[in-house]
Amino acid sequence: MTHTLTAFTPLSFGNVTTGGSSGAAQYIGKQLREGWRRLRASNSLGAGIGAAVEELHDVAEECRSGNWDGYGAAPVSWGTLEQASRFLDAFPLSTPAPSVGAEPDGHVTFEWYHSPRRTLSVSVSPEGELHYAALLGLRKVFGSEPFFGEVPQSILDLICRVVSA
Amino acid sequence: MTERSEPDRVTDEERLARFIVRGRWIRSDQTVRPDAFIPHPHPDLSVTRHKNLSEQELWRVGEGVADAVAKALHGRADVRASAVRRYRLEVEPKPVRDNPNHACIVGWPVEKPAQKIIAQQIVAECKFVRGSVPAA
Repeated sequence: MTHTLTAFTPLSFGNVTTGGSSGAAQYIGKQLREGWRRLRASNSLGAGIGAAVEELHDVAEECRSGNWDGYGAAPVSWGTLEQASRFLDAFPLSTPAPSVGAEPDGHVTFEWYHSPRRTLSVSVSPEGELHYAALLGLRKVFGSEPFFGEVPQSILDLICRVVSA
Repeated sequence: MTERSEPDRVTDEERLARFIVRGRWIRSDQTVRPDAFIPHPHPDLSVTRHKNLSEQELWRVGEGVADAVAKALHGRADVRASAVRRYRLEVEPKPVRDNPNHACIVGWPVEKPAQKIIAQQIVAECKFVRGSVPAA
């Protein structure tokens, strides 16, 4: 992986709320979301996150039935996919793309990988919990964070440390 | 399921195989994602001991795992028992009818983050072997 990341651009329209319920407010909110999607799809900003969204769709298809790993894995539920999708949407546009996967317990995973000993994995549960683990050379960091629509700063910091190595 | 009586203890030097039927669990640099080593159903993680198996016999076991779910066998992640025990896990022989070398890695913590960090460290010591059943 060759990402060089020094800081995340504070540009995220993923959780746009207009604070109003009028037609105008809804229109503005829709336009902002559309703009955000176009940025994601562009080659200059957030293209990687766009690829991760595609991967998430593939994982959903592959893991919708149980035993998808040959060892009795739980299916990835719609609830988990919804949480995972919201999690992806919440990233700043400059975030390097994770690779997307699933774990045998039915959680969706996002991995930022530099080497086997410099890597971060974040699991998204159907309840919207984020379970993460990172190897940073000899250092280990792991824990859980609730997901309330914003990516926890602790996870953004870990991504930065993994990909900028 | 038929079980043998008193299976022998797994030694530290023994190699264990976790068969991979998910292409997404293999990274582009031919290492394995930790997702493959998350125990489910908790608390057991199924593996196959290499002990006394030829390479061909070992792949046959893997083909059985893949055939059971009608998927392709992408390869296997090999790890020594000593690497597993380093994280306070244990390897228990659990022979089954179709696989007398079946074993389970047990002793996993209940907390998901703790499982994940152990899985990451184990896969860092795994060797991925891409393969298929050699001709007889």
